[in-house]
Amino acid sequence: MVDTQLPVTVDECEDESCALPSSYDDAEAAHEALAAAGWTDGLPVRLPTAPAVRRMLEPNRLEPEDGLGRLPPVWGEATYGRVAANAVMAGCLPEYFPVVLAALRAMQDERFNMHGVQCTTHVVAPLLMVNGPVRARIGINSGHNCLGQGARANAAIGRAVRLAMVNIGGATPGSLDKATFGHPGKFAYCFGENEEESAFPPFHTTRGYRAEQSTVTVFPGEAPHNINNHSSDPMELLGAVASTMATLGNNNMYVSGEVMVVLGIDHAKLLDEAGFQRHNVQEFLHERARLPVGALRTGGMYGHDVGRNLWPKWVDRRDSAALVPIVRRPGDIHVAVAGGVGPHSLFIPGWGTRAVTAEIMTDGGAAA
Amino acid sequence: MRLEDAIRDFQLVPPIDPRVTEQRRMAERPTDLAGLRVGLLDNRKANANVLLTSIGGGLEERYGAGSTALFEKPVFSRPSPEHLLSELERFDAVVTALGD
Repeated sequence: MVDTQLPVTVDECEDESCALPSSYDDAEAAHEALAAAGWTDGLPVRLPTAPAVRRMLEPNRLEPEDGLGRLPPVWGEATYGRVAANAVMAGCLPEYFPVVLAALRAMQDERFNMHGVQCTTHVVAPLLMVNGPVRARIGINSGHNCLGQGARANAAIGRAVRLAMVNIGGATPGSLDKATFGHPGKFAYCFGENEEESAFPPFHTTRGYRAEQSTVTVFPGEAPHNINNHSSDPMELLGAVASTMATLGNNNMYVSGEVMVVLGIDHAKLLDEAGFQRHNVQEFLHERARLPVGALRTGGMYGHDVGRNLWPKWVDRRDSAALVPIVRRPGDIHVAVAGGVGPHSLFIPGWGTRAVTAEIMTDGGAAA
Repeated sequence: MRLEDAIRDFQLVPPIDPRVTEQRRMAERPTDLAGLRVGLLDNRKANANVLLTSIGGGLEERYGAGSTALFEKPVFSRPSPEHLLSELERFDAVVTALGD
C-alpha cells in the first residue's frame, strides 16, 4: 500500500534538484522499496528511472502522457510513460515496446474480456503469440524451448504485459485477481510462431493479415498440456490430440469459446505430408474432441451455462449419447506451429472468451 | 529506503495508476431495513438466484424490508452493464451473491 503522493508525469519525476545516487547499495535499497510497495512480480526488476523511460519511448516516437486508455478492473490510465515504466522494470529493450503495446491493445478488445480474465478464479493468463518479421528483428524465440526460459524478448515482453495488468489494471493477486492458482505463464507467456519451419501458412494470414505484417495474438489460455506422440499415422496423431482436448475439467466443454493447438514442427510436417491442411486439422479435431452429454452431466459444471445454449443448437441435450464438441466451430480451434525438433505438440485450453490479433506498430504508428 | 526517497533520489517513474492503491471502502450499511427497498443482484452462476431469493424473503419477514426485487447480470464473467447499475441505484440497499 502506498500512502505517499506520487509524481504523475515524467517531467515531475525529473526533478533537477536531486542528484542521482551512485552507490550500488542505494540502488539495491531502492529496489527493495519497489518490492515492498508491491509493484513487482516477486522477481528483481530494473529501476524505472525517468531517463530509462525516455529511452523506451523516444525511439518509438511516443509521448509519455499519451496512451492506450484505461485497463480493467480498476480502470487505471495506461499512459505510454506508465506502460514504459513497467516495460523497463520487466527488462524490455525499446524495440520490444511496440509488441507490449499491441498486446495490451488487443486485450482491450471486448471479445477478449480483459476484465474477466483479470478477476476470475480460473487459472487463465493471456498467451501472446507473435507473427511476422518483427520476430527475427527483435529476437523472439519461436523454436526450441520457445515457451520456456532463455530468450530475453519472450521473457521481457510477457513480463511487461503482466506488470502493466497488475500495476495499471489493478489485478493484484488475492485482491482483485481472484485466481485460485494462477499458473507460471502469469510471470511471462510469450512466444513466436515458427513460420520458417512450419508446414502451414503463418497463423496471422488466417486472421486477415499479410505475411509481411507483424502481429501479436492474445489468447486467454491455461498452461500448455504436452502431447507426446511418436506415431507416423496422421489419424493416430490427431486422435491423441483430440483425446487430450476432450476432458471434463476444462471450461470449453461447457462454455465453448476457443482453444489453441500448437503443433510441433515435426507433427506439422507429418500432417502436411499426409495431405492435411490447417482446416483439415481443425475439422478433424472438431469432429473428434467431443464428450457425450451423459458424461458432461456428471462433470460438475453442467447446468452453469448449458441453459444459455452455448453448445451448438444441433446437440440433442436429451440424449445421453449425443456428442458435444469442445467448441462450436472448427475455426474456434486455433492451430499454430512452433517449437523445435521433437515429437511433441501442445494443447492450450481456453477460458471461454476469444483470441484477438493486433498489428504491431512502430515509429508512433507505422507498421513494424 | 522509503519509497518516496527512492522515487525522488532515482527519479523513478511510478509504474502504477494511483487508483490501484486507493483504499476501496464498502458502501455504508443501513442500520435498519424497515421499509427499505432492497435490490438483489444475481451474477447468473448456478443457484445464485436460489440463495438470493431465500435471503430476500428473510430480509422482508425477519427484518421488515419494504420490498425486494431480483436482477440478473447478463453474463457472469463480464461487469454489470450501466443500465443495470443505474437501475440498482434506485434501491436503498443491494445484496449480491455468487452462486455455485
